[in-house]
Amino acid sequence: MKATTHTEIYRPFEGELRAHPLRPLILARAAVRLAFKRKLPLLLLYAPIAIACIIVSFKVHFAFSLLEGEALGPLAGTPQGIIAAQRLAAILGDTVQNIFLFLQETAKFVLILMAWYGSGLIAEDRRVGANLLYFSRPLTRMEYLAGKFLAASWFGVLALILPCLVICFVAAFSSPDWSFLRDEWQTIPKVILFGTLWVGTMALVVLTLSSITDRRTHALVGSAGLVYGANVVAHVLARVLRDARTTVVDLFSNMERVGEALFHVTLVRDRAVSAESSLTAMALLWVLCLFILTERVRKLEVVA
Amino acid sequence: MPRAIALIFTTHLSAVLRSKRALICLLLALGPVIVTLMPPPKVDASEVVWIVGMMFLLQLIAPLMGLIAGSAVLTEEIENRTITYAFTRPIPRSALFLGRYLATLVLLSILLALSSTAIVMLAPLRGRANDLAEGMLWQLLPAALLGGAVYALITAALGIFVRRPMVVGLFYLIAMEGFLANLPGSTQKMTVQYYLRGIFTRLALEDDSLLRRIDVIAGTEFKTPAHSALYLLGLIALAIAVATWGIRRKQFVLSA
Amino acid sequence: MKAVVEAKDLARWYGEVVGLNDLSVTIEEGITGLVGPNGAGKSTFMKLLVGELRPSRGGLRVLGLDPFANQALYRRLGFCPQQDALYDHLSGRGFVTLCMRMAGFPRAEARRRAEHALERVGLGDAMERRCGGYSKGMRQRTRLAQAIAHDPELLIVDEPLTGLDPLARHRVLELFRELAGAGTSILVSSHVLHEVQSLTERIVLIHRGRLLAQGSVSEVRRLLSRHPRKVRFTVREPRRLAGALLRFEHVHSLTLGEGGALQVETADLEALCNSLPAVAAEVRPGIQSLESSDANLEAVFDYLVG
Repeated sequence: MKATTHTEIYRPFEGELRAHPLRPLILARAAVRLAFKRKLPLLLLYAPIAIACIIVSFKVHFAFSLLEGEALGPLAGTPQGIIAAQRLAAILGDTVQNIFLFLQETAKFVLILMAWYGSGLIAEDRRVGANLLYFSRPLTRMEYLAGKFLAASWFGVLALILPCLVICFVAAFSSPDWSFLRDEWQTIPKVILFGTLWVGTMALVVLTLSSITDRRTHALVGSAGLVYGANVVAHVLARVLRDARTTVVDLFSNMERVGEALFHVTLVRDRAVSAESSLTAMALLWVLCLFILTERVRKLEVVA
Repeated sequence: MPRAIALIFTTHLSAVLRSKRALICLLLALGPVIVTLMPPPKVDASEVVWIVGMMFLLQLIAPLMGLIAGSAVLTEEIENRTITYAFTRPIPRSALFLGRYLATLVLLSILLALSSTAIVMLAPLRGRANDLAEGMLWQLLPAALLGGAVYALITAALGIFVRRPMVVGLFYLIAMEGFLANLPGSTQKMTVQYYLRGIFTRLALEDDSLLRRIDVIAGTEFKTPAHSALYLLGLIALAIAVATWGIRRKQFVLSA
Repeated sequence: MKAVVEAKDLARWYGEVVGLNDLSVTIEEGITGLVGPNGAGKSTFMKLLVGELRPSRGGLRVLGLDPFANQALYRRLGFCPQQDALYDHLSGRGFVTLCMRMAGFPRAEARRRAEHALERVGLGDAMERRCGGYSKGMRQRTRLAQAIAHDPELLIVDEPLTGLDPLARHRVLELFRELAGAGTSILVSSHVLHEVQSLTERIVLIHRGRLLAQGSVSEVRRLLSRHPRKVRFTVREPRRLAGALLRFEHVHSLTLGEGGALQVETADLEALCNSLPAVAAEVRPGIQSLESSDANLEAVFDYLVG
């Protein structure tokens, strides 16, 4: 309990001030480190994804083992064994389809995860006035936004893209003669592309909501309510209008359609909306979010 | 106690009605009304009321409104740190909770009543076949009002026990009321939705074709409307009892 | 004198953080200052006194009653919290009237009391305005008005002078004296010793959740006078001043620094201050500034806790 600041003698700074080239990265790293300090949400939000990832990895590995005949024991090499292995492998499903389904299902959960971690990124800054500190440093509005976007995205990357890459990794090592890498190598960039699309979209939505309110909880509920609400509204409209084109306002449906086109997988036949229309709808959403975000952050600066 | 509740209620009613949350609830309540006007004339009025009422008003709007308005009941006092003034006065602590809950209930009741009425009134417009069963309003209205009351109370009571009732309430709505309520089987009975549907399906029980139009509830056996309403009223009484017990014992640590 | 607060082995912790630790204290009628640096446990003690919190251990009686959620006590108790919180949608009068209605007064009486209390704290002209539009000082006074409007036997006030301008401070201190004169016991917390000293001689010192000292301010001051105090001078001729000060017995040490800095450690700050004009006139060292960096309460605690 010493009042040291009263007696401290300050040395004048004699070095040279240089702007850090990756300021958004510093901001993002600080936000991520702060968020990960609390262990319980970390466990509750990432553990289900980790468990799902292990299960799917095992499924993929087992399917390849069956096809190689390794898991058949005494039946290996016999005609019965080959038939059984093919049937079991069919039940376990195509690897690419497994990866795509994992992506689809995890993506819905990632929304909650990203909303949890990302909803306070701008809202909390506004509430406690931290933006005053940021903008009194050599940090531009865009760098601030980029930092927050990177932080919000990182939570999603860890939850969505990384587990999928782990599954691809397992598939690559489990497949006979590296057949996964030889025949399905495109899956890896597709996973990255699809994951980035989803994570980026969610990061934008969450940050936009976070910039509108000054309470983290409101941003969280707003993000989840908006995405899930749009899903319900789209399906209600589809029923009452008897027209499935209304699902173009539903983010989940749009991502499903884009994913189907990207991975060449069919989950629903006779889609009323094309993947191109879905991409256009999502592009409109990005533009809207970016417009609101830049406007809100600009106002932050003016107020500061 | 009633005097204290009335005092808190009258003081906070105008604030609740003029709050930002009230505006958000109003916008939410307008949603089903707008959707009611959208279907083309070929769709029957009863089907419009049925789908909009069941899938939109009862399953999304009433829970969301309850969540938004209910989470303010006690949490607002805690977050604004004004709870001290009520808790250091010679009034029962539960009076603050009940008074503020009643003010919230008035807001929700007005909005949900208007929304339900508008859905039933507007559905036969635009030249649609008016095959609305008599008394459809008297199924939708009590279901919506009870839904709003229960969801708001659950969220408000959560505010006594957890720091972020809105977040916990949202998880409850997504996991229980959104997911479990639409799973086939008797797990539906654990949700409020099941009983709200029980109230709203009185005529549908007689006319099976209506029920079959919504696949999530097709094949589900519902309780009678009276039984469903009684269950929900019992749930309200239980939640109030738990909330008043909790608030009497709770220590609210406010940051300076 | 009758005891208004009796605490025995009182402890309160928040998880692993200790707010109060084995505090045993008896506070009698009259004005008592509860002093301690930030984070000492003053607010925790006050929250326990008004029954917002329950003790984790030990016993506490306020006006002879257990304070937690005790309606009988709240009729006799006034509490002015530290946090800047009011019902912003209400006017000052509306807010204090509501508090009085909650205190059990009929509408007309509650209104009369609210107006009177607001007049007493100097908000008579502004009582019709919404609390949301009040300045920080006005909000502080409104909080005080709700605490005194029902003529409590015991008034507990948490940091009442924070955010007030000197005039308002003076007025509030006068009000406390008035209330004490009328028989109200007041427990006022502050981290600024001289503010409390201008109000009362009796203080309770808390530090890190423990009772450090209890008694009159003069006793604590005497304790302080044995504690060497540092005074830092900025002087044109520091060596000349140092030479002149060396002859005083109360001066323990002298440290010369850069840029004309001179730090003096003295056992008697008052004597040093009294002798300075004569020294300055005698040796003309060119004193530009002087400051005693450890005259605040934290330094006292630093000394008292070793």
